[in-house]
Amino acid sequence: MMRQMDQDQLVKDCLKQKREAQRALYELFAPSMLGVCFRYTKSLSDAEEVLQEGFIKVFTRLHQFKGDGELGGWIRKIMVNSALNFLKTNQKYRYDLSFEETHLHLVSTENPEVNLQTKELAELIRQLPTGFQTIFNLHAVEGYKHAEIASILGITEGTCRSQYARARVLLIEWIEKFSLKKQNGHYGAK
Amino acid sequence: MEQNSFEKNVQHKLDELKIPPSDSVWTNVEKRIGKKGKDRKLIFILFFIILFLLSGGYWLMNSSKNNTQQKHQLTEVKNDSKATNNDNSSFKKTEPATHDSVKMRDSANVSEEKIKTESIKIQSKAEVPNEKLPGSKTGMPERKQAILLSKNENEKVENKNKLSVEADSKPTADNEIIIGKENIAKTDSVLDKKESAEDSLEKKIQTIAKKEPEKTIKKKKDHWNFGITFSGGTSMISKSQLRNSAFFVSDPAAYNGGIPSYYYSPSEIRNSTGFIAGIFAEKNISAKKKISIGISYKYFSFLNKVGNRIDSLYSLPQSYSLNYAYSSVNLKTYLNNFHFLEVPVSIKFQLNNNSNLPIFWNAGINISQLISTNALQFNSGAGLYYSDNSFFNKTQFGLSSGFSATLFAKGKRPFNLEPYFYYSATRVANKGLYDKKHFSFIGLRTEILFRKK
Repeated sequence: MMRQMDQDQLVKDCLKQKREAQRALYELFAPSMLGVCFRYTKSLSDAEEVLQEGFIKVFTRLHQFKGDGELGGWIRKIMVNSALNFLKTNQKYRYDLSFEETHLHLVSTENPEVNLQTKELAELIRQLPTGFQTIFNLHAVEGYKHAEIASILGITEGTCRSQYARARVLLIEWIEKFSLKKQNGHYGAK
Repeated sequence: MEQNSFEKNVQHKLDELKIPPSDSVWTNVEKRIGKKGKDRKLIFILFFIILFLLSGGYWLMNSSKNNTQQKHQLTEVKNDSKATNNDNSSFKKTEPATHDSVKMRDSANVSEEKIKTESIKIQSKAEVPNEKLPGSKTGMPERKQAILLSKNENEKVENKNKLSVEADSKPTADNEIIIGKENIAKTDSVLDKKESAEDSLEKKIQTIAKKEPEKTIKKKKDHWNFGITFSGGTSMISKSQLRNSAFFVSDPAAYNGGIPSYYYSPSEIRNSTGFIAGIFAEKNISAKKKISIGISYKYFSFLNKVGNRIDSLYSLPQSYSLNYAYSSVNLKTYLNNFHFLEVPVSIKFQLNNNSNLPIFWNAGINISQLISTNALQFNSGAGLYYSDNSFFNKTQFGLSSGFSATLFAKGKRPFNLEPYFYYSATRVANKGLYDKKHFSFIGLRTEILFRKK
């Protein structure tokens, strides 16, 4: 991992519009950030589009980074917001990102071991319906609270909890099935 | 705790997810950030061009003023000379030599330009009339000078002018008067005529002196004059298109196969105040046409209803780096401000012949650069207003028009008053809440011109 001092210098150089520094910053964070974007979209090309828009925002708003937190965390938040914006403005995702208004939700107590590789788990999450996928990513991976997600997506907190619970149940079911198939030597997403 | 173990497990796994992006991503990022840098450079270049034009105009105006002063001096000398010649003509009856001096004056008019170059000489000679007197008294009257001139016809024109100007100058007139005095004993009638000629000379000089300022004003009309302008009125945006915004979904259930979808519609954007303030330079390009160029600060504003401000970093659907957004519940009025730097270029056509109250039709083009804005965008899915200035077209090309009446048109501070209309040909934005909209402005414009003396 890059030392804090090096990172500060990198940020300073980027602010001076030094292209080498900007390239270095991009290369440092791009692979992990594409992993973030990948989880929110349905295709790699869409994920790359989000990554591109995200990095443009990073470079144009780098002066707003106060340096009081981790640069990686700051960039990650930009990527998440870029991904959400992409979902809401892109015709392909826009109508899938809708939620039934309900306060009833299943309570799952299952906590299975996730014996999948990272890429396999990410692929399973991407198989979820867009609404489920988004809420699951925001709550389980990014750590957003239900109230915050509800505010972001313009839904009630109850709906958010319900959607998350359903997403969780579905994902656990798929993980178990996938793990079983893997054990039996059959591979597949579902 | 148990429930969290699954999430933690997933989180831990996904944190390790790294996918190397294709090369095209960086290429596109590099292009876009380079373009943004170029845009900033363009603004600076534009600013310096304007500064250069304004300072150039100012320099031009000053140098023109100096020329006017020089011409003014020359005019004084010429008028003196003309007055002298007129006086000479009055002596025609008694002194034949004056006829020759008129001829010499005519030869002097052959080349006015040459005379101009000699204006300083003429002035100094005019100031010391007595230097010439002895010459005349000692047998060098105008007749001899005329003979000398005719003998040297083949000489350069410059020399001719020198001679003729010398002959034309005021001292020559004085010489005539003195010559007349020498002959006073001969006839009383000659004396009477001489006295009346002196009176008429003084009167003519006074008349010319009175007429002179008018000539100077006429010349100054061709110079750049500077002024200040202020317009106040209403900034507007095309409403009808706003209601058909792509973000507005009137029947949410129509989407998603009948399953109710939750889309929010933005509140109505209302017109609000706007003003333009700046400086300009104006110049006559013909008797009834003027050209004007300036630099102005332009402020447009619009109102809409928003909800409470959300400050949480985690609650924002858009660029959280701004750290806030507004919910769509219509609780309070939000003022969307747009600040522009504008370069207006216009032509004024005078519609009437009244020089005391001229009426002009103004038509112009305006190039504006958006300096800053706090205008909100709307996210229909989240029902949130947020700020994203990347949606806006930063450079706007607009057309303006108006009819102005000029008060105190002949004074030093002419005052223009006009109804003013502006329409931006460039779209406000190509996406978002202001997608395919155009700015317009209607108001009252005032201009005060500061004429140089």
